[in-house]
Amino acid sequence: MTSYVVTVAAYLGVLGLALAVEVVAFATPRLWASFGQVVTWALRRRSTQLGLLLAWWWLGWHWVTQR
Amino acid sequence: MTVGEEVVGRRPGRLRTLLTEPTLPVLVLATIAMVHRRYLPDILLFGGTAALVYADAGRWGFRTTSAAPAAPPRHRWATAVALLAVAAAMAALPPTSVALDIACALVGVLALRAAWRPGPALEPTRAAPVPRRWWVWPTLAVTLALVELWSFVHRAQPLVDDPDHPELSTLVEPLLESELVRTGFLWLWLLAGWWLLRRIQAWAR
Repeated sequence: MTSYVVTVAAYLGVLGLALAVEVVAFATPRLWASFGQVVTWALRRRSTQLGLLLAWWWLGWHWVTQR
Repeated sequence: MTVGEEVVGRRPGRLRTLLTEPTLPVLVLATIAMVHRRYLPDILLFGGTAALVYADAGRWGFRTTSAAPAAPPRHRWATAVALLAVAAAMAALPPTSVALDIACALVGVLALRAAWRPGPALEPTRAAPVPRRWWVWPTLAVTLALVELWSFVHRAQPLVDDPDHPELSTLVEPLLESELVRTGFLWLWLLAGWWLLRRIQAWAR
């Protein structure tokens, strides 16, 4: 396997796991927390609010302007 | 303190407190990574946000809050349609143009202004409940960051994209060359920002 295939497989593997956890959290909300629930909980801290706001903005700007 | 809760309230020492939370260390590490990449806008952005977090911590008073999550939004569909129009207008701009940079910067400034609240008016009477298996999501995020880092350190030349070791942006950016896909991406981005801001404002009540 080439490095390219391994790298892309790793990205897809993590994203696939995230999707699976979200589905499981939707099906069994008492056992697993969804992405939205964890982000909402993390936002109780002010530093996390500013950090996640930066992460959101930077990701959009970085990808859409190709900077 | 019962199981599943944590201590909330005022805590001493601004820097010490911030170093026990993940945001400031992550921002400092990201700034160091951007210095290594020698990209000035990102250095200023991450370093500036680290300084902002430190300055804002005094203003906020290190309080956490047990406020309820955001109420269902009013004008949900109207806002979604308005954001779609904004996304379409932004997507019509050339991807590497200064105009698109300015439009993105404007979105960021408006978001920061909306998030710039003085903090909760009252100390919380109880802590927010800890979500079940919350650690799964940070673990996935760290794993994704490690794959990205692995890709970056295995590049043939540190400052040149390597097709054999692609970063996530190397894979995503070609997909965004289509204006239609860019409109969809920008719409999801704006919706995510709106979702995030509504929750930040709910915590600040």
